[in-house]
Amino acid sequence: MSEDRNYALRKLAEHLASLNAGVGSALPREGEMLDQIVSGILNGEDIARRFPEFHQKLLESAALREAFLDVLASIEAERSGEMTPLPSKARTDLSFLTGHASPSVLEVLDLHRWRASWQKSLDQLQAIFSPRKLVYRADPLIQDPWFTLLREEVTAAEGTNLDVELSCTLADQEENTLAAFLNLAVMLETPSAQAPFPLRASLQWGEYLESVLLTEEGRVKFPDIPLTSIFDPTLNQLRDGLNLSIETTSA
Amino acid sequence: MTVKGIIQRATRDEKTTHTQRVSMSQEPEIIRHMLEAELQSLAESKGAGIVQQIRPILLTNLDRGRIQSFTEGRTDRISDYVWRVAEGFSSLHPYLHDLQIEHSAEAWEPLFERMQTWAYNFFLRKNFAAGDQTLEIAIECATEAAINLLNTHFPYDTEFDPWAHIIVQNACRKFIHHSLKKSAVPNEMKVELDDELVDPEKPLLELQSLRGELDGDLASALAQISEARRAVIQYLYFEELNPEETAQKMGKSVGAIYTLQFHALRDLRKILDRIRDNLNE
Repeated sequence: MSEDRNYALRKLAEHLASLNAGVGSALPREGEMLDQIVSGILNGEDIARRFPEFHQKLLESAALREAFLDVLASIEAERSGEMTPLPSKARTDLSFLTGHASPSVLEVLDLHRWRASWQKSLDQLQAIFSPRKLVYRADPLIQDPWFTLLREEVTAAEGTNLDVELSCTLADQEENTLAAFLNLAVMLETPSAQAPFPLRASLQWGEYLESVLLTEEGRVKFPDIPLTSIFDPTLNQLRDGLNLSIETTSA
Repeated sequence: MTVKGIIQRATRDEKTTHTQRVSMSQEPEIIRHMLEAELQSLAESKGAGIVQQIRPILLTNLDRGRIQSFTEGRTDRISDYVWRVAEGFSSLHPYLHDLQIEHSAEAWEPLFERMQTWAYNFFLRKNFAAGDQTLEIAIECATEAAINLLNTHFPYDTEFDPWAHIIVQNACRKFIHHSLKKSAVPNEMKVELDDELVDPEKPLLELQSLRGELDGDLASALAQISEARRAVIQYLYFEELNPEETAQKMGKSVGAIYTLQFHALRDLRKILDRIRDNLNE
């Protein structure tokens, strides 16, 4: 048997052995990188060579394979103009856009000190954790395990813009707790503007109140949030909205 | 070499490779340091502004395992990753800003219409009947997807379309999932949406006592599958073409090639299982 043929048989045997070897019908964690993979394919990448571990998972998991083929088919159909048109006019009601913004309140404390704060009402948060996607009951098959609680931009001082994102997920280590992260990017728009660090970020949510110090732009984690401090005793309903503030500090 | 030998060797090789890769994928701190080094060189060539903006994005992607997935444990890919995010940010940030921060109707109107079409076509692919009833479901799912899209972190290591398509499809899947849960169809009558025809409970092929050379069984198995599926196996495995080259050769899309490949593997696996079962009887 030639070496090439032997190699081909070996590869085929490997793939046949892997097919549906994964347990269960849930989408594995690799589902979260489907967009990366499909992006790569659209740019001519061969996933078996470029992402061998993902390719292995693709063979093992029927659920992942189905999701992968669905996305690829959908994008290709649109790009080749083969999508079936809607039977009647598309809905143009964009009312979902309202009610999600959290306008900031900016307090100028003195020449160099300011405080920016945002509020998310209980209604707004309940829309994020709607009954079917309560964070601690997230369905791994179809649910992003991360929840963006707030994403806003604000001009905190002349030439200094803050890009703020607050997100959370179930904490890895502790049961019934959320891990909350704050992303902060600072854009200085004028040469005279100075980076405002250190900054103090405070999060108040139900009975939870914690602060963290930011010494540079990036990502910081708040201390974990026990679900009991933000949900009712049955852990079914959120109790309160949240407040986030970011302020200059000398400490 | 017997089939068993071929598979055992493949499994052993895979394990070795996996071990070499695991250490880095488990060490976010190592990746974090490498990211900082890359960001420094990015700052030197593109300026500090872009670094300030993409650092939080990179750190978020690191927490979410996206960098580990992209690099698959290879440190030499971290540089590619950082540059990919920087380029993605430069080209897509204004659009994402319009969608997610400004909530611009001008940006949303065409996108929302596309999302409804994606959802409608998703349901058609799942054999829902074409018509207004399916359209209503599609609009409901597209609206839920739009709200999710407003609130979902965009990682900038991907193109916009695959990311948005997945959000829409997840909303559609959720609808189907919950509808099936609510349905009164007895469990024994339900069918899976995916054609998972190989019994996942069945022991792995390599653990069973396969007989004979795969070469021999394969010829007979290949003769039993469709011509297109056979051609894909020939091109991908025996002529070592990649999916894109195979697509060109067969005049099909890359997606169609992956579909044919997986269907061919599934068919072959079933046929080989049957051959083996017959031999065992």
